[in-house]
Amino acid sequence: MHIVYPSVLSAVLFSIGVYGVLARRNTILVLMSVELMLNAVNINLVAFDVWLGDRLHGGQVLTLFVIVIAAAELGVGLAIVLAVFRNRATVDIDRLRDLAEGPDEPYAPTAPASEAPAPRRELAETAVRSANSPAAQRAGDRASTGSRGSAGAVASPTEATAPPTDTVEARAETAEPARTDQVEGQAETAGPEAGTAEPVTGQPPPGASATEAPTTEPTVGEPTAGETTTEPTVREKTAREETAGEETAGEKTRATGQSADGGERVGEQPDTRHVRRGGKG
Amino acid sequence: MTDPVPPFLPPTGQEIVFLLLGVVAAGAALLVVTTKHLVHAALWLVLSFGALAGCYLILTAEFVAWVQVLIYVGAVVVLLLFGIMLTRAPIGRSPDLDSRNRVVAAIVALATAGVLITVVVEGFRGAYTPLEPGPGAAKELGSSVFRTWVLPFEALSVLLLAALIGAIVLSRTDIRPGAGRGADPGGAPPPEDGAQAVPDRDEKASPSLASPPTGRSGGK
Repeated sequence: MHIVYPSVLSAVLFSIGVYGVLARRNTILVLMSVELMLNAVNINLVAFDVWLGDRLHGGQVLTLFVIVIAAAELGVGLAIVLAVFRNRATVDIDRLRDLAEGPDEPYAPTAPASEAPAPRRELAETAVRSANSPAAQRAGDRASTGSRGSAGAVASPTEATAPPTDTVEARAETAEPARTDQVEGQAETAGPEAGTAEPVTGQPPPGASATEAPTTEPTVGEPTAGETTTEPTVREKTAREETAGEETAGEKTRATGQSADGGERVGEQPDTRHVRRGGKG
Repeated sequence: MTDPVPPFLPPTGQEIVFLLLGVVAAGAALLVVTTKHLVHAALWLVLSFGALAGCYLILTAEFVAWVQVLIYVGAVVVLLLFGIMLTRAPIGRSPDLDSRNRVVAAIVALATAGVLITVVVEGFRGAYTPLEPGPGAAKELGSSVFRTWVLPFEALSVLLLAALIGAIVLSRTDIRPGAGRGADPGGAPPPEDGAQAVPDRDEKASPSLASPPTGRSGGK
């Protein structure tokens, strides 16, 4: 016998099993499709055992083992299916979405509660999110997140009015073209430290910053305190926070030399300035 | 294997029978994954597995063929039918057996089939073996299992035992996670049966489902 015949039959059966696993909704039908795939493997094992003339009968013995394992798998699988049915009154795979993440997730309200224990990550995410949103929204976001997170609690009232200062300009300009990665990290990691920085930054008069801000792009309100805090954190946390910032890397690069609070308002510097000025004025 | 490969086209009798059985197996499998009747799917699975057992017989794997008949046709399909019954599947046509991503699944399956068949045909076009009875008999296979493969065999026994216990623990309703904490002072008492576990689901399913476990535990 040509070995092609059982091999092709095996491939066909396996593909049918793949279709069944992907297309069926009933869990028991999915289990049946898995059994079809296992049988496709079995027929390959037997055919190649016969072809190679294995003296130890490795192929056929392995076929027996696969049959036994399939029976065990089906027993446990059906027990799980019955337990699910007992709890949910359905075995429809498309409706068992408790572990799913997505827009139709029914447990969205629990997300903010889960964010609370990790203020840093959360602030970084809000920075990413807020990169596209209007500045006013961002200020609102940060106010809310700051009130939740421990570090940002102090910061939230003053951030909106945090004025830009001249000291940062030089650093910001140098930083912008070169170190995009660090800037990303800086922009995100600035969040937690911003809380400590901003009460200090709130004091400088708004007028001085307002004059400079529109002219020089990267100079966004960089209080000295904010700068000092962000520098160490960049090294610490770039690796950790990288993933969150990857999508918005382009925006981050625009936002490079921003300060602790400016880094969070990544992106549209003009908007932030307007908002700040509005907040001040 | 080193013999000159006979041509494909006048197929031998064995090959003809194998092809017919293979067509039956593949067609039945296709019906398993496309039929609208849930119970019919299990019955088509019987036909598919039976045809595969015939294929094993033609490939001189007699013992595997009978194990296939005993375990797959005899036990697995019956288990699946029990599962269908216990999950209260509708008897008759059920229109929602296929999910929305049917087309994608078909594309993926066709791609898989294309790749596998192409590779297999390219790789084993010249593979040929004459079929001689004997090496797949129960005697040969039994001595092989209990001499060479005895350690995997024993490990498999342990696996079967673990699966057995696991299935029992999973399917019993009088063992609950709250049962162990029930001894704690102030702990909430565990629910008596499955009826409390599904307070918001349809009521006609849960009491009847919960009744066998309670009866069983009452008998003990």
